Amino acid sequence: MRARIEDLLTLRDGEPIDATLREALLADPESRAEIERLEAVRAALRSLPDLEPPPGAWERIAARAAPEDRPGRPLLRLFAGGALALAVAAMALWLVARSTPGEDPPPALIVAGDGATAPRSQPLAFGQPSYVSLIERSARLEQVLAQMREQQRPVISGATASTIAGLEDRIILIDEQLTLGAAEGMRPEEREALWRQRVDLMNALVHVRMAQSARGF
Amino acid sequence: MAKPLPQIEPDVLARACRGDRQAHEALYRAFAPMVYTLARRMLVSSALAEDVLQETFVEVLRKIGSYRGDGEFGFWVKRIAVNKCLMHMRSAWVSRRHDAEVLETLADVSGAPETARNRALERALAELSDTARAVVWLHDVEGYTHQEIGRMMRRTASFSKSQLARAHDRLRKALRDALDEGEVEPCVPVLKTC
Repeated sequence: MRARIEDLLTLRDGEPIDATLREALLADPESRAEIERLEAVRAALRSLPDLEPPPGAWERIAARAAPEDRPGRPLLRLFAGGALALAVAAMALWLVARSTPGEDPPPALIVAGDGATAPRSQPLAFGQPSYVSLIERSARLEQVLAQMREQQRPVISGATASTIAGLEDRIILIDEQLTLGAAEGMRPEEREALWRQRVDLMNALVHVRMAQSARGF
Repeated sequence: MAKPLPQIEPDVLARACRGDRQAHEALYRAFAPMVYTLARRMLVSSALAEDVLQETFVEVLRKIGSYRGDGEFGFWVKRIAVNKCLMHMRSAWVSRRHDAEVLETLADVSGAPETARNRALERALAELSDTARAVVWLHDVEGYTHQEIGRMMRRTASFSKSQLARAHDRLRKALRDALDEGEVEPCVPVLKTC
């Protein structure tokens, strides 16, 4: 009997399974051995040792979290937060506007934060002049969005949350297509089109976040 | 049964909620290994794991005032860390950075008591796709249900189930190869029935 691994895992995890199938699997020595093996793998994964965080991590965290702890007048802090978010958004638009589609990518343009490895002046992939530029813009927007997310208050209206979730879902879908495409040898023009869509969606996200800052929720 | 969560004294938690810096550090010392381990196992790269560690604790410290005490604190921290890991996984940009750093991390085994079995397991995990690895870790180690994983990944429970099955299929092959190549002693329980 050749049992499906899905069924064996269902049995291992004690989840509901068809009674006849359950009986058949338990009566089969090969299936029982396979369930034991799956249990042993799970036990081995759980017994992998905990890892110690790198030294100095707490100091870096404390430094990042500290400005938020400072007392201050709530109205002033709200205004400062909004102004900062708008400044970040304006910077994003300026950065994005700096290299429009179709132009040759500027050499060594990216100043990557947090150690991100940007494709500085590397040879253009697939011979497409705008490909690297799109990836660079996507990376810049991602940094800007991360900053905006940190600066903004978590409370947002239902409509805004739904718009943001919709845009993020579409970006996830594109990321999945890019990952799949990389494994299956996607054509350069298809890949570029996906990166272009990703940049457009991220631009839209920046706009939504800007509007959220302007409204204050 | 999932890995047990680290515990913290209620008065330390109460002081942390009031903004006590020493209590914040105590929380970090208690929960950082859990968060860092989770991130390293899910993302493989130690650099990305440190990013997740930082982002998680910055969020924990900023939002601790809103923690209402319903549910275990460690579970709340872990949930934030899982979301950070998933956000990193969703980013195509990060996945490019990730690929370069995985090999570096696998080559550097300092800081962990490594055995041949652990090395084989870590390597086998690293060879899985990001999604499959995350599902295996969240389900088999952290104890999340397929329903919960599906929701966190904005997918379905069936998606999580099929990812787990595929991952175990690949793990079986990878561990068997490790046994064939003599990297792991055959008497190790995990590989006895491979």
